Amino acid sequence: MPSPLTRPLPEPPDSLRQGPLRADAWPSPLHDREVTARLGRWLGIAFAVCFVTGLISHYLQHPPSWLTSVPSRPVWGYRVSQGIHVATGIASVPLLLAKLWAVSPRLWSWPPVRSVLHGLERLSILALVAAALFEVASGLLNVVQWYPWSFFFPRVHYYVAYVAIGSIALHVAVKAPVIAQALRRPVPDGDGRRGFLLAVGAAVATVTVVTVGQTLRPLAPLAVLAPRRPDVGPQGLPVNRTAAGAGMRPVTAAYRLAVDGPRPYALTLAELRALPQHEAELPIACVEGWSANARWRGVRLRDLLDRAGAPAGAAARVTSMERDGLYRESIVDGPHAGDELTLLALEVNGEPLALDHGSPVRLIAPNRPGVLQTKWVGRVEVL
Amino acid sequence: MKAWRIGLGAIGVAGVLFGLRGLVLGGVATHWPVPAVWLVAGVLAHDLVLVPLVAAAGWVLARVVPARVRPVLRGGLLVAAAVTLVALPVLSGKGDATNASLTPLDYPRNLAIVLGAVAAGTAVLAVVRLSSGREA
Repeated sequence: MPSPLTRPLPEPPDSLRQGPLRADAWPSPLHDREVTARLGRWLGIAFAVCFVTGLISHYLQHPPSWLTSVPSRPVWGYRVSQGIHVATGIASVPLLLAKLWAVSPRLWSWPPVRSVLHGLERLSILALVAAALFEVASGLLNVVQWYPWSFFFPRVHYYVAYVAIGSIALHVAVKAPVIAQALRRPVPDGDGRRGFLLAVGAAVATVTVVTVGQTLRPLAPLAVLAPRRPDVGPQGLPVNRTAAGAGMRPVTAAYRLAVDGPRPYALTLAELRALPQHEAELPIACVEGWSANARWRGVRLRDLLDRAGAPAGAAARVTSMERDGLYRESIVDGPHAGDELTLLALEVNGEPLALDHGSPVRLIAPNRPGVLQTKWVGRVEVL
Repeated sequence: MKAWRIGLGAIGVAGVLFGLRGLVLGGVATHWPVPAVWLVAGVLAHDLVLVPLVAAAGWVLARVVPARVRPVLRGGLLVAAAVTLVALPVLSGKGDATNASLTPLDYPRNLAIVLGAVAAGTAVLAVVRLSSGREA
């Protein structure tokens, strides 16, 4: 007794079965299950990696109320996780398109809807395809900071990621027996199917090699199509938000760094320079997937907080002199504020900071997204 | 149906609903009608533009190119298309124009070099395949 969900629906008249709907419209052997299941496996892994690394980045950049403390080590934590996020997203371009090509005849399957359940499954596939294409395309545009839309990219990219990963999970659950069966069968040789899988692998390797050098320094010379080079920018270091973009000019002698806490005080630039200076080799690691190491020199944030009478383990708020901007201020949680590597830097690579790098003073801390490394710092508060 | 499949499917449905709910309730940050248009436009662009183009290319390939080198040429085209798609944003010239460190390279030239290398690699493989006489 078929349930209402699986009861066959009436078939549309056969005369409507034209063009791509015809049984013989898709003769290529590339559309079979052995090929599809293998591409799907790689794409599924890529999306899972993107989802997890994306969540890490999202929560670090926009900490929810339950996330009050993040370890400040390893120094390279965010650099690696976000580098993997963007590299995997770029590798997903050929994987996703090849997977969708392999299953493209299914869009034209006949009859279009066999039962209510079949219709629901097709709706979930629509959600999967739409969300997957959106995530890859919008991420690719974000890495060049091209926003041809009127929504806030990080928020929409975040929620659509749940649609993508959720519909993938549902898809795997529905197709599990078919997938398992197809993966047990070898891909037949001799009709181009293996060649197709090899070509997809070659495409993944190629798009990776020409871009991953934006974060993997040894491959920088090969990053000929990456939006960034880790050594190109003022003082040999890329910039995300320029002084011109933020409306910042060089400071005058009137500059003071205000430090608020139980014992508030303010420092001139000369007084800041007279304090004990420390060096730290730390990466700037941007959400857009590039990263670059630099030698920073300046005052330990911990020393400034101690002098203001901050209790041990206190967090701090660091505020830029920018008038506006989404990341004008950032919270430095306890582990980061107490880390000896966290500096208010006055110099980078042996020179006073360029204005684009946040002159006169910027925050630089280990294991932290670039947008939270506040530039043009005017105020530090003990929280 | 095994329990793990039901569990995974339920988690998946919950994920989809959480994402859709976040989009719809996100206010000005998500502005849901706009991503909705982008989501649908992506599917239409893929299914009605990209797939027909690829199908047409495959149709021509099947009629013009000898069967023995067809997989090699198809592979070369696939790699070239993937690289070109990935390069479209950096070729666009969009982004903050005041930022000299963003898209600092000569991307049209670089893409031409990469495509040239892909073409050369494809040609070498095609020659090897033709001379070895091995069937596809």
